[in-house]
Amino acid sequence: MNKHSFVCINCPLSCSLELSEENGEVVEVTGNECKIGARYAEEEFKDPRRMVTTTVRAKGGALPLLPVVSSAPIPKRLVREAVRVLGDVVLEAPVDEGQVVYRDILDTGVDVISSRKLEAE
Amino acid sequence: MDAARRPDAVVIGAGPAGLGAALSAREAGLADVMLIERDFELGGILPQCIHDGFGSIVFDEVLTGPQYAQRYIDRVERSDIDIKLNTMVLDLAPDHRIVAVNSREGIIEIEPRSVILAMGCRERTRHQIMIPGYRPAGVICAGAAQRDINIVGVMPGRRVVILGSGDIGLIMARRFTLEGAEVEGVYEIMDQPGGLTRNVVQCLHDYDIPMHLSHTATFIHGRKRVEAVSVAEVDDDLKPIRETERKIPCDVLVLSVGLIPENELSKMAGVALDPVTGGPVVDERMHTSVEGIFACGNVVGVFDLVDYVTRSSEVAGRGAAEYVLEGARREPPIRVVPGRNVFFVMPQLVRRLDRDMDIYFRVERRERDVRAKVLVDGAEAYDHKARMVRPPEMLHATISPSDPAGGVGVGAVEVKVVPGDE
Amino acid sequence: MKPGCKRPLPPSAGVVVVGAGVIGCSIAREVTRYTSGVVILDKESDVACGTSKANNAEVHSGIGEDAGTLKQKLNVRGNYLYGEFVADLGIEFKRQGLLIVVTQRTLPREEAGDMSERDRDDLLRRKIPEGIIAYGENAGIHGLRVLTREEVFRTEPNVTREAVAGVFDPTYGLVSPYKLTIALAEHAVINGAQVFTNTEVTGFRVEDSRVRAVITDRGEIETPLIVNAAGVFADEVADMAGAGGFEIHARKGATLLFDREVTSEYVHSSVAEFRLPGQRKSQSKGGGAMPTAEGNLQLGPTAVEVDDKYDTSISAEEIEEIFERFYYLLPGFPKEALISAFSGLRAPTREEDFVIGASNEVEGFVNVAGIQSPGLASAPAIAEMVMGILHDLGIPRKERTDFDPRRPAPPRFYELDNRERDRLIAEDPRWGNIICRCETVSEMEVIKAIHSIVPATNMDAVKRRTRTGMGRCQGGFCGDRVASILARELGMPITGITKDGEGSPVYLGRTKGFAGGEE
Repeated sequence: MNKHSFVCINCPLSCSLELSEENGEVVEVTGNECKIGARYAEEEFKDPRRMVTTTVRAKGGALPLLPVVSSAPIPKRLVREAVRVLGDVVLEAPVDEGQVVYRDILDTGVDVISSRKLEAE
Repeated sequence: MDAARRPDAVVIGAGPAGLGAALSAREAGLADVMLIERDFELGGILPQCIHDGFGSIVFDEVLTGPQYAQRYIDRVERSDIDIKLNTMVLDLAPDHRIVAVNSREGIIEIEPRSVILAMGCRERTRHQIMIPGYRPAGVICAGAAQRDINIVGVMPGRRVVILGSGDIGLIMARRFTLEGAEVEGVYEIMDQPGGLTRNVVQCLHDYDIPMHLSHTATFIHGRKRVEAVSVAEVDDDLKPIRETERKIPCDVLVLSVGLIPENELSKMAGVALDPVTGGPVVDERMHTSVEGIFACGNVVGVFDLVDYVTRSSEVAGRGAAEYVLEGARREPPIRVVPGRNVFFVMPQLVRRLDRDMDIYFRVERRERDVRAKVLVDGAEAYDHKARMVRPPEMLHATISPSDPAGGVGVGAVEVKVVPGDE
Repeated sequence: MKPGCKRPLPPSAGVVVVGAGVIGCSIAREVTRYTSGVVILDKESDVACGTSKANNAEVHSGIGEDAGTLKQKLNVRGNYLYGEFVADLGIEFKRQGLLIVVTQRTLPREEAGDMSERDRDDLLRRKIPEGIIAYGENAGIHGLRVLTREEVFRTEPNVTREAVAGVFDPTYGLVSPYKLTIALAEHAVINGAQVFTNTEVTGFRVEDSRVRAVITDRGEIETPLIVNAAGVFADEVADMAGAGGFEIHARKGATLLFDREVTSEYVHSSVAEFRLPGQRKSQSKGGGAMPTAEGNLQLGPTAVEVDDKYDTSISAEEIEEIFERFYYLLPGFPKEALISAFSGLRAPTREEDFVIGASNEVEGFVNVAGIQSPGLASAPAIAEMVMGILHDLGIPRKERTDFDPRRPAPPRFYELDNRERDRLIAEDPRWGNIICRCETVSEMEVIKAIHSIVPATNMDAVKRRTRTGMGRCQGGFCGDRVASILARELGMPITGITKDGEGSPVYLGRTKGFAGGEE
C-alpha cells in the first residue's frame, strides 16, 4: 500500500491529509476533519487540476503583455508546459476580453482566453 | 487653471474600491461624479494580479484580477462618470478642496460636495523591517516584482529568495518559477504561513518550493547587485539566532512583508486615523472624521479579498450620495468595541443602524472551534461557528436592523470570538 | 560602450582633478575662475558617489573640532564663506542652527566622583555652556548663545527632558551634499571644465620628479598638475605617483532616515549632545538628530573602523546603536516613520587631520586627503587653499573675464506654486505627468536630469537629482517608470538600466514573452 500526503485547502483548518492507495485504488484517507477533505485528497491523487494564468506578448498595444487564463482547469502536470507554449504566442492589439488566444492547449480540450481588454496604443 | 469644478463627489483612486464607490455613488443618485486615477488606465493593482481567485463572493465565480476589474471598468465606461486618468491629486483640504494635476489640463482645482478616499495601500520596504546589509540592485517588494513581470515584462531576478509568506509573496514564487527563475525558498518570521493555505499548496507545494517558518533575513550581501542573503532562525522573541545563520546565494530578494494603507491625502485633510488599522476611523457609512469625506477599501485597512473591498466601496458610494442629498448623520457615534480575541475592527463607529452593516475584523491569535459574535445592545446580532480562526484571515459579519436585536438607535456594539461551547 | 563615457578623453589638460566628490568639484569649480582647462575624473558612474553621497549634510561651525588643527581652521573659514560659495548655484543652503544640549548624561551622577550635587549642577548648567562659548570665541566662531533649560524647550519643544542647558550655534547650516557636488560640477562644466565618470585612474607618468600625465583605464591625459581628491582612495592614488606617505583608513558612519512629513512636526534645528572629551566614543564627532537639507530627520551617524573601503553595509548592531545613542534626544519621535538607512565612509588619515599640500617628491602633484567631517563645511576654504597652491604651481592669478557666475538649477515641480506649475505644463505637458508620487516628481524633471550638464545615466543618479524613489515607498511605485524613461531617453533597452553603474543591473532580462526579441 502506498501513502500520499496532501494539505487540505478548503478551510483555515488546513488538515494534513494522508491517502493510502493500492494499484491506484484509494483505500482510505486519514487526517481529514470533514468529508470535503476526503474528497479533496482523492481528487488531488487521481486527477489534480489547476487553472493556468500567465501573459502573452501583444504587439501594438497600450501594454506589451496580455494576461491570459485557461477557460477551465487542466491537469496539474501540464501547467509548466502550457505556460512554456504560451510564451511563444504573439498577438496584435487590440484584443478583447474573452478572446481565444490558444485553442485546445496541449490537447486538453481547454482553450486559453484573454482576461482583459487591451486597446491598441 | 480654470474656474473650480464643483461635482457632487470626487473619488480618489480607480482601483476596485474607487470603481465600486464611483458606480454606487452614481447609482444612488449623484448626478456629477468624478473619478481621479493617477495611472493611464482604470483598475488599480488588479491588472497586474493575473492569477485567479477573485470574485467568489461578489460574482459567485472565480476570476482573475484583470477579469474582475474589467467588469467594473466596463460599467464605469458605459456610465457618465467623469474619468480623469493620468491625474495626480496634490492636495486635499478639510473643506474638500482638491488640487490635482495632469498633462492635458495642467493644475485642476475641484470643490466637490463630497470626497471618497480610495487610494489603496503600499508595500512595506526593507527599511521598515530593518534588514541590515548593503543597498544593491535586486531588493524589491513582491507587488513591484509582480508589476515588473506581468506588466512591464522584465525579470527582477533569476535566483530568488522570498522573505515573508503573504499571499503576494506566494503568488510571486509561482510566477517567478513559471517564468523560468529558480526560487530558493520562502522565509517567514512567524511560525505559520502568512498567506492562505490554498496559495501555500498551489504556489509552493506544486513546484517543490521550500517554506522555512520562523526564519528571517539577517544581511543583504552584494555591493552593486544582490549576491546572497543571510537567513537565520528566530527565537520566541523573533530575534535571529546567530548560530543558525546561513548564506543563501541569490540575485534578488523579494519582500512580502506587509501593506500600509496609503493615507497621505487623508492626513492633509485632517482625517483621524486608527493606529491599529492604519486607516481612517469610519462609521457605518464609511464616513471619516471630516464631514463629507468618506473612505473605502485598503485605504481604510488592508483587506484579504477584493470582494470585500468592493462591498466597502459600495457602502461608501451610497454614503456619500446620502450625505450630499440628505445631509450628515447627527447621531453621536458609538464605538464598535473589539472584544475577546479581536484586535482589529472596521468600521470603528456606528451612528445609526438603518440597513445591513458589514463589520470586518481580525483575531489576535489562532484559535480552534470558536464562535464569532456581534452583540448589539447586549443581544446577539451575529453568531457564526468557525473551525479555526487565524490572524491573517479577515473575518466578516453582517448585522441587520431587521434583526430583533438591531434597530435604528444603537447603544453599544461589541465584536468577539469565544470558545465554541459558549 | 558604458553610458557616461561616450566622449573620448582630451589629449591634455591644464589641471586634472582625481575624484568627483564635493572636494574635487569645489576645487575644479574654483580653478575655472582662472582657467578653463580642467578635467575631473571619477571611477564611479556619477559625481558624488563616494563619501559625498552618504553624508549627513551638516555645515558645522567648527565648534566640535580640536583647537589648532587645520580642520578647525578650514572649518571656521569654510562656514564663513558658505553663503558666497553656494550663491548662484541654484541649491538650498539653510543656516537653521544647531542646538547642543547638555544633559544629565553629559556627566552622569555616578561618574561625578565626590563632586557635590550643587557643583555638578553648576557645571552642567553654567560652566559647560559658558566653556563652549569661550572655546568657540577663541576659534573665531561667533554668535553662540547659552540657553537655559526652558529656552532649550522653547527652541525645540520635543527635545529630551534630560536636557539641563544648551548652547545654540546659529552659524550651523544644512546643504544637500550630493546636490552641492552636482551643482559645483555643472558650474565647472559651464565654465569649460570636463567631467569624465566611469574613468578609473590607474597610474601617472612622472618624469624628472614632475607630473607629465595621468593614466586611466580609458587612456592618458597629459597634464602638469594633478589634484588628488580621491577620498578613501587618496592614499592609493598618491602612491601611484610616488607622492604618498600617508594612509587613509575607512571609518563607516551609519545613519537612519525618517519620513519628512513626520519630521517637520517634531524638530527644526539639529540637535546634538554635548560630550566631555573623555566620553567621546571615537575621533569622529558625536552625531545626533538632524534634519537633512530636504527635511528628513536623520539619527546618527555611528563610527566604526572598517578594513574594506567599499564597506557601506549597515549591521544590526549599528542600527541598535543608533537607537540607543541618539533616539533619546527626541523621545516620542515615531520610530515607524523610518524610511531608509544608509552608511558612508569617512576618509581619515592616522593623524586625523586634513592633509593638504603640494607633494615634496613629485612636482605638480597636490594632495587633498584625509578629508572627513567637517569636510563638507570646509569645502569652500579647502578650495581656496588649494587654489593658492595651484597659483604657486603656475595657474595664473588673474581671474577670467568670461567666467559665468551662474549655474541655473532645473525647476522642482514640488517647490513651485500652482501658477508656475501651470505655466510649465502649458510649455511642455510632461511637466504635468507625475512619476514619483511620494516626492511629487514630474516626468520632465527626470528627462532634464538625464540630459543635464552632468548627465544622470542610472536610477541613483536620477534619484540624487530629482528625489525619485527617495520617499516613503522607496521606489516601489516609480521604479519601473523611471527605468523606462531612462531607457527611452538613452536609447537603450530597459534591461540595460542600472541602479548605480556597471554591475548593478535593475533587471536580469525579459520575461518569456520577449524570447523572440524586443520588438
